[in-house]
Amino acid sequence: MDLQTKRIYLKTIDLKDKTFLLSYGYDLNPLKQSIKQVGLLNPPILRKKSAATYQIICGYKRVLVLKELGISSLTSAILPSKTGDRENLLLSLYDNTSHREFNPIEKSMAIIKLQNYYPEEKIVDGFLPVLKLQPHITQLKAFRPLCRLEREIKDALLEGKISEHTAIQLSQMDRASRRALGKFLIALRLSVSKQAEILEYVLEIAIRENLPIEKLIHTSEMRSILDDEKLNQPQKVEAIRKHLRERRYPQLSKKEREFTRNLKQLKLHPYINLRPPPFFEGNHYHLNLCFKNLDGLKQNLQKLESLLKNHSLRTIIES
Amino acid sequence: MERYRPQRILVEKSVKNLPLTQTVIRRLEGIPIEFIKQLKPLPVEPIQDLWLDGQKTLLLCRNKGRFFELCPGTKNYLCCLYKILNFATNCYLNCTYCILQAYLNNPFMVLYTNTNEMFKELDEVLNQHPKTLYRIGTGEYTDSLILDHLTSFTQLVIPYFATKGNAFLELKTKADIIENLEGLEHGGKTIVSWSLNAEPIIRSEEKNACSLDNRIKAAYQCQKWGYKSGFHFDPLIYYPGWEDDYKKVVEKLFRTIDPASLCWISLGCFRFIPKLKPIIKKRYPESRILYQEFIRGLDGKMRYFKPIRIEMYTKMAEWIKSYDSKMFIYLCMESKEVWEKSLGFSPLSNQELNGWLNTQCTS
Repeated sequence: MDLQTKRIYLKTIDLKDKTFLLSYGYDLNPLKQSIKQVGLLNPPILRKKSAATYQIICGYKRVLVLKELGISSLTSAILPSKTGDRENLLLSLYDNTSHREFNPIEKSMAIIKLQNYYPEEKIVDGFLPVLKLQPHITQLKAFRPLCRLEREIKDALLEGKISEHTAIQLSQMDRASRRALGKFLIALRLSVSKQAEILEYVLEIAIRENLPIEKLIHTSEMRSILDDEKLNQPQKVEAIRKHLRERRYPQLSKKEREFTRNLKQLKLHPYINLRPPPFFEGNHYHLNLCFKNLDGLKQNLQKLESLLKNHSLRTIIES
Repeated sequence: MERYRPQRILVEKSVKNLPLTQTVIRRLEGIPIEFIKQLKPLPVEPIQDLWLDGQKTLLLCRNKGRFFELCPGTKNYLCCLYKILNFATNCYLNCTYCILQAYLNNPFMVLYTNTNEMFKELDEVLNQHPKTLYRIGTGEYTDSLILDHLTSFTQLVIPYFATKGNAFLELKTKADIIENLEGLEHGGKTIVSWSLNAEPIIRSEEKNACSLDNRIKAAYQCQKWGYKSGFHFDPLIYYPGWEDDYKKVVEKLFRTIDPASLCWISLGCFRFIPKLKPIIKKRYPESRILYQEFIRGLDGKMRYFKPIRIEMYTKMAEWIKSYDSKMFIYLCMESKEVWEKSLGFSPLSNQELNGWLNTQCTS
């Protein structure tokens, strides 16, 4: 690579030109501190864009910091103007991947930019491993649209408010659904597993009921839970989860409610617990007894003996 | 129904001169053929991504394993102890719900042409236990008839079973490729069965299979040739309005088919292994069959919540019995409880169910 070191004025660098920028969600403060303390260690790589301007190939963040620090000129490595765009993109890519791992949005940016120069197969085999992705077309397709998500969703992904799985799902939706569902999930602040569960309920209910996602999220039931001031955040999440599950599995939920109602009528001692077969599919019920000593066991067994005569137990077991 | 015609034939050199290989090659004159020593390892993509392209290749090869095997059935539910004759794998009908999508490790249409070894193996099994009655089906890893216009496999296998005292053959299909069955010496030992479904389901989930009318017409024709027949309502698919549509199928069936020649009608609600769900979602995003109330069954498969299954079986049985009160109906992979609540009785064991079905074959 034929690089020429040259001191140039910062104002001659076109900061709006992000052709080779592969960074998103960065924090400039550590770099600012470093430059303040020891100066610019690695000069950015630029290419002459026109008679009076330069284009950034590598070092966008460094140039931004210098600008923020009010520095007017810098030492730069200048590429010959004939250097091709593909070569420049590779320079930017490897300059970044050599010292850090890309976040999911940056992976998406890289894939999209690489597509200007390479077929999908080449990106899958040659570049996905560089981006720390499995060399498979499904990975390319999953990550590619992420950088086109709304800023709020992209930032939520980088801040860990939504999972990569959720972001990928959102990126495959129409704009209205994505914005509504994204906002909803971000506001709920869910764990990864709860997020996956609620996302699945919402998507499947929308299909079952042939209902736009944004309408489903804004139903009065959902709103009343979200707006309920008596509920704290975990309680709201649980209420939303329960509401969606009941809507997704209405018959199973009805059966569960019936079981709970009948169980209440049994007035079981707190030390005795009766559980139905999972999903009421098999026919094995589980009975747990808790006791401290032989007398306690004896008492519980006597309670069970009288329980056998209770009609509600028959209803539970034989319904 | 469009009949299968591959775009490429791969032939393992070791089967090149076998009669069935030669028959197929002759019937596919003009299709490019490649002779290979053995199949090269497939790319790393999930098999489903290669599926549709893969099916355009017909692989003629040797079955190096066993042709005859027990139906895997499923644990914790009653199964009928069916036996399988594995003569081909894959199916170009591409029904959305098909388990083969999650099961096969090769996307090609595969035909095992070493039939001499197949019959030898069958002879050994059948001779070893002469007092055991075997119900053997060819429709487990493929549709029994979808390649028959190229293979005439039925002309080999039907006369073979006609000579066997302790075995019945069941051909299970959604096709109407029956011309090779005409005039064969079947000896009442072959049951030709059709899988039936509600017409909206056929249109949306069984797009490449033949229409309901053509299935029934084909069954009628086979009855006229003296074959016993069977029908499998499997998978029964639940959706709002399913009752009217399935009831119409039962009506159509009994309007044409003579119940006297029917061995059985089986019922089985849609069930699937969990790993099939993402495959169906990806391959058939327009399909709605995954979004009913499924729970994880005792065998790990996803099944409709039990009351839904009971409701479907009860109503289906009622409609069928309204045409023939003595019709033998059985449930596929269901619990004793579901049998009892739907049909009013249940076999005590897999062996008893097997015995009932064997009786249906012989009576």
